[in-house]
Amino acid sequence: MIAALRVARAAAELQFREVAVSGFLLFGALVQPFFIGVMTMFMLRHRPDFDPVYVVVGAALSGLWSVLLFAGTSAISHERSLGTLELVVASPASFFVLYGGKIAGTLAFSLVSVVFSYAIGAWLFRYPITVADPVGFALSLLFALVALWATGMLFAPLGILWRAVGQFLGVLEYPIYSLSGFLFPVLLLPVWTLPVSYALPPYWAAVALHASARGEFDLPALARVWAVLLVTAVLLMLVSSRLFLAVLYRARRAGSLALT
Amino acid sequence: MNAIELHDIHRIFRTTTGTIRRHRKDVVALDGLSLEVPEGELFGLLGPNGAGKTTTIKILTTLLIPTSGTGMVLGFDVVREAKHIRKRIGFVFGGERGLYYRLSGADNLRYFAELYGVAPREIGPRVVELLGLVGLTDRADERVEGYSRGMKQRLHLARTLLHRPRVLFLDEPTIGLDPIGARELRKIVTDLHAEGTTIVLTTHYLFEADAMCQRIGVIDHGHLVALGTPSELKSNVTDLGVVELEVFGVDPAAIERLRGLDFVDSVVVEQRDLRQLVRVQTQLAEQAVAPLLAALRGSQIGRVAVREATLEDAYVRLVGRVE
Amino acid sequence: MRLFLVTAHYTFRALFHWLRPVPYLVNRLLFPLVQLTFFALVGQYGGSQSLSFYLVGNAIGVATLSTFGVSQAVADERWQGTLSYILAAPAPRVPIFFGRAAYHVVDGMLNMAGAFALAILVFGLRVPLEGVAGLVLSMLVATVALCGVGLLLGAVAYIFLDAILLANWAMFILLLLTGMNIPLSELPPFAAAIGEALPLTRSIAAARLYATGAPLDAGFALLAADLAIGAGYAVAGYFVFGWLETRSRIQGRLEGV
Repeated sequence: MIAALRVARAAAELQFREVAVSGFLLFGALVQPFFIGVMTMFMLRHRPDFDPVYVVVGAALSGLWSVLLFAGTSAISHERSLGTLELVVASPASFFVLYGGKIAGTLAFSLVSVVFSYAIGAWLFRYPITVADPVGFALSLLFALVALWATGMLFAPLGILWRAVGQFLGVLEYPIYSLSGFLFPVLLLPVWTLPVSYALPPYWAAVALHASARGEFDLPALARVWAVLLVTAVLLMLVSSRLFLAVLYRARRAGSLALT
Repeated sequence: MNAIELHDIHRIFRTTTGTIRRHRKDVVALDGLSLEVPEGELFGLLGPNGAGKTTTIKILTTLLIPTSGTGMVLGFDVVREAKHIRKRIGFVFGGERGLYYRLSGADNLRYFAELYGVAPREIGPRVVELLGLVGLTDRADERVEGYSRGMKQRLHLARTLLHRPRVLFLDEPTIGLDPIGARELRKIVTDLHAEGTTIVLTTHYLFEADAMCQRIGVIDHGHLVALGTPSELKSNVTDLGVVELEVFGVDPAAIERLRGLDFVDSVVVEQRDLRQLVRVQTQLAEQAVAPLLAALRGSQIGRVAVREATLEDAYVRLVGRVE
Repeated sequence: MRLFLVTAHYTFRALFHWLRPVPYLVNRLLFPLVQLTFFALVGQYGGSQSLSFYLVGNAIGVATLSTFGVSQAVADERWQGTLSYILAAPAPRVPIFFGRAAYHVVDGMLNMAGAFALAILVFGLRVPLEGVAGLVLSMLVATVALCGVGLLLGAVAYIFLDAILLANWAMFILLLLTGMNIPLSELPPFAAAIGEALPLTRSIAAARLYATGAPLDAGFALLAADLAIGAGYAVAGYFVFGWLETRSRIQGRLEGV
């Protein structure tokens, strides 16, 4: 267990160092939430019940998700291009644990989106950005990171299985913003998409964050949301852990771990 | 115990070509390879490009699963018990890739030490020791992107020794190194072998295999075509002499004439700057010179030498070419 | 003319050299649709404008992908080391570089058609028959004008060395300031001024007119202005290339700065 944590910590640190110098990911963490935050602030501020915190939270989540999506999948292709993918797969360390560390490192980096989104609301638009339930919000943020982490764990199997996955990533950004209710309620979507939303940990993360920011839920209600979030996250983890093993076996079968 | 056992290993790669209509093509990389390497041996695996050497190493290092057949490393199955094998082996694939170029040499080693489960208090001293062994102490804190090819190769060797593996796989470790760097690396390898590490080495440098390896396996078209000590392999060519002719602008028709002579075993042409070195294996040795020169009429001949067959000649006889 | 067509053809082949339909369908058709859906629903939730405002704005806004395509194609010339051959060739540059843009115009039209199809079939956007010709014209002008931005970006990318990052900046600036989702009148004056100086702004305004059934000549002035602005960006791109070429000849390097 301790050895696994050490592997995860080492992988997280390495990933943080790699993403922190990536202009592309800095764009995803800062510039993209800026544009999305500013746009949606203008688009939503005429609502009678407008609360700028809603936009700040939504923009922050969009930044977290975009960085996770691109850094998470590119972690595999980056290792492959460096020639280190074979080396790490052939090491005794569990690749699942190692990749878990990478996702954690990515999320640590992407937290800058949260700060930046707050700055947009508070300094650019000069809105009072206050959170109605700070403790509930802080805990919800922690659970949100767990939710995103669990969802991000699916990317490695995709990246190993499918070298061209990077070509299709752009298409997963907006659908998750939409299906998870980051910046508008999912009830605006067709009713048949609701089960998809409910199965997504980021959806429950958005519910908890929005609700605690606006003081809409008391602690028991929040706890129920966190519980569902954890259940969906655990289910996703079980799926991804199985997928990891299957995908690595398949990659060993096909010889597709190397670049060539 | 055998460090390595391969029984009738087959490995087929399936590739697809074409765009609208996709065609599947099977490439046979290993075609019934069987091999045993006892613990503590320094074993050389030779063969031309595409013979199956790297595929064999990748199967043994658990990166590739054979299509059929069984493979064992230190008694563990390469397919089902990969985790046990990974703790006990190390490997270096030649080339400059395989390092985190934004990290320093020392940080690369520390990272891999974590992956290999080296005890935390051992990591520091072990990294220092290995950097000293491979001569990178002074450059340890520089980013790998500034390292030369030789330095990267040495760092790879240090990486592979972090967890004190029982079996080492070295896939063309001296390729691209300058002569001094290559010699230093060979010394490290032979010292490791002297300490009891089993080493499987693939190389294109036949003199290297001749000097270092206790036994050599020659692989071609996915199976073993010869196996033995360097002396045993050379004994297969004691009947052969080699005539080397330096030619300027050799005519392909002349080479065909040489090949057609009944006392000629094989003809290999190597390009060296503006001239070609034509190496003819023959049972006649000095007596072959005159008919060979006659067959090369019209070509401008430089130096002519007659010598005994070496391991390289034995290799050429086995695989029919030099690369 | 032949140079123009040949360059256009090879641009298309090179950009999608996989020659498989899936990446094209996903990136160039699906991506605009998911972006349109997102902003249309945010707009609907916000309620400050009609749904058709957001649908038309984002459907025309899909033309921003042309910017990306053209700047990437131009940047690729550098990475593949072919720029020196093109600049050293005696053939005139203008047909070559506009050839680059041509396929992206066709591509952009297809993408926007897909976006309008989604807007009509799924979101229920109603476009009067008399407005269709004007809408098609707006689509064409938008994508042609944005190719000019793409050419300038491709040239600037030689200095800043990252065409993808530049194109992403451009796409978001266009998203924010051309009236796709926010009327220019709601933006701060300096931002609105930038929006007025960008192509696409007037094409979107014209498209919104045609979507209400306005006659063809109602949007001519807007579309002509957008074309002129786009041409201005293209000319600027041409001169930046010329400057880079002179600089590179002095420095002895043709492949970027």
